[in-house]
Amino acid sequence: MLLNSVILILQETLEAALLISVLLAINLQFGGGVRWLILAIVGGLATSALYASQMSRVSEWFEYTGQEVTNALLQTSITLLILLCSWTFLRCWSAGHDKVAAHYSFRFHLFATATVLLAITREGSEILVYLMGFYHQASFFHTMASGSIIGFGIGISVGVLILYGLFSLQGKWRVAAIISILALFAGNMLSQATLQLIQADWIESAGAIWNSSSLLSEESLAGKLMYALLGYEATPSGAQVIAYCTGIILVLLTSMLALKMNPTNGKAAA
Amino acid sequence: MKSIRVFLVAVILSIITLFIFVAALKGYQSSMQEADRLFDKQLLDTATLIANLPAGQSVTKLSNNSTIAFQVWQHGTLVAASANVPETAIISFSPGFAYSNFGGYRWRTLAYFDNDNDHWVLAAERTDLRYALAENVILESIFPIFISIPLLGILIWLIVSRGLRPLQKFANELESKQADDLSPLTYPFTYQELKQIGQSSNRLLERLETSLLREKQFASDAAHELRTPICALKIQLHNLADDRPEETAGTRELTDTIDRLGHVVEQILDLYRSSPDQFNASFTNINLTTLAREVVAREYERFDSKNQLLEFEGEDCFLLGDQFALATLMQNLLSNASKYTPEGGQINVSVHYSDSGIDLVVEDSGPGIPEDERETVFERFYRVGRDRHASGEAGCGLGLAIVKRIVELHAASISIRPSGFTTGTAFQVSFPLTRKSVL
Repeated sequence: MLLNSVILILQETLEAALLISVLLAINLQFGGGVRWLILAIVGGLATSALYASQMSRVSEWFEYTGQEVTNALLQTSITLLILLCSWTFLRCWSAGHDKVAAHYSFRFHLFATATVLLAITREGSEILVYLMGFYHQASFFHTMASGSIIGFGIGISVGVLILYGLFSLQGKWRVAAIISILALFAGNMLSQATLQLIQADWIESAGAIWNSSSLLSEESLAGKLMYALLGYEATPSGAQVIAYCTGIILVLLTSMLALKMNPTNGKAAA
Repeated sequence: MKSIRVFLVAVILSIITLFIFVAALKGYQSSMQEADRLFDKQLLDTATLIANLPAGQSVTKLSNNSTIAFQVWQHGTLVAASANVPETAIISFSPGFAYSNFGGYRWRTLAYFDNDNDHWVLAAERTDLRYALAENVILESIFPIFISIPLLGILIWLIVSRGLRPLQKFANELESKQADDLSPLTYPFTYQELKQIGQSSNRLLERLETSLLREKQFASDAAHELRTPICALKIQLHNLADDRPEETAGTRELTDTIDRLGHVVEQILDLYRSSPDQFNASFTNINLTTLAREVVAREYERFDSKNQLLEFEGEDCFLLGDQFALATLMQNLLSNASKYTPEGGQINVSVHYSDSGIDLVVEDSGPGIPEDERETVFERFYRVGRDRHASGEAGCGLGLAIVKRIVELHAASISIRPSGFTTGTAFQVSFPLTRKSVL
């Protein structure tokens, strides 16, 4: 019971913490405050509570596949917002000019706020649904609460260490790390969205194209961590692998295009 | 990364939380395995006890919701059982521990063959309750960790703050140094990390002092070397005028040029003397009105020569200030007003107490300063309309820069607005009230 709570909360917290850490590291480029983040977290918690409370109604949509379809929609939206965040970040970085930074600052904060808000809505609603399931079972509540605290603590700690790790990198190394994480995150989101649509029978699946359970089980703690950080699946379908690669390629292409459009090509900022 | 303190506290606390929680999880897993072994041993003891019960003494008092269940089988016949088991065998007859589902629960089971009595004892215990019991015991030991994390955070914050205090003190000492104090820092650099910063700072101060001394010496020499030939030129020109009384355009221009040269040299020296590095203020209690009246009287000839009307009004206003610097300030404002006001124009000077302090206002009926140039006129060598100013007056563009310096040295403020005349500019210097200035 405790381990199950730890794994579920850790998985959701880690995903959100990773995204927030990367966006905060980008925020350093724009030199803005963190009011947008507070707004996104508070808004995200409110919408996740709303989503969790309406979960049974949502589930009935689209012939009882509403939850899967809504989650897929949220994950796809997050992927698109990540592309926009990457674009504004690299346009600003490659120009290396205060005026350009000011020009893109508002757009970046808008996209980042929407990204965090949607991510917390999805992750938060899953946590809330899980917690609400045990709320009335006093005998399990203590265990479940302890597991949640441990999962949340580990997730936040890893997020803080990633954030300061990114802060400690300089110039193009930091940019490379940020874009790599965003690419993996986008791949992970698209892969999860595809899985949701497979479960809703919106996409046909021809079965797993490999099975790496013997190397790293999806059910193990390490497997769950890898799932949250890199979107690891032991038995992925072909559609998921394609979606994962598409997410990565889209972020990399967007980044290359953003860098190419500016003649200074990052030299000023490096 | 704006704060070293936040960085240290966040990273240290995150690492500690990560290690403690992962260790707690490992501890939980080990404890659960140990508890499992203990519960299995207990189940074995129960099975042994049941096996040794006298034949036919069936334990039927165990209710349906009991945590323990058992069956005794002999030659394929159920000879005894608790009330909460089905009539079929709850597990297969192979010795050892296993899991089974019946009665709506999941059970940990044991199949035990008793050789002495020649029968099988199948004992079972509900897994949900045995794990709940084990988890509760283990969580009691984990719970203090949860409370310790926030306390640890506060403790780390205090320790890091204490560790950064020498850096703060060092910064305070640098901050409290006077602008002209370039003596080495006396802060005791007992900490290894600060020793290097202290030594580097002292070397920098030493180089700065040498450089400033050299500059001061140069300025003093330059002033002397420039004033002497200008003086000599003026005397020679005076003698020339005595020898040849008829004034030509050439001599008039020569006189103006020498006057202008002398003015520029004096202005440069004033600017230099009023820089914070060189300003050795001797602040005394001054009646600003009396001082203004003296400066007006001294400069009166300048206004008279242009037929300008000069009006002065004021009440006794006392402030703490440097007499020489304030006289220079007023002289520059008056000279500026006279210079840019056409012949026959008017200049008003007033000194009054205001709500926030003392206001010195010099306003003229000149052409005025465009709004977009009001900030830039205080820059060094800046002249409104450049050298093509409508007044045709020559100047070096240092007067208002000197005024601004003196204003700053007295913690005052200066503003420019349109004058009360049809055209023109009003310069308002607002001095803050100090306790002594109201005496």
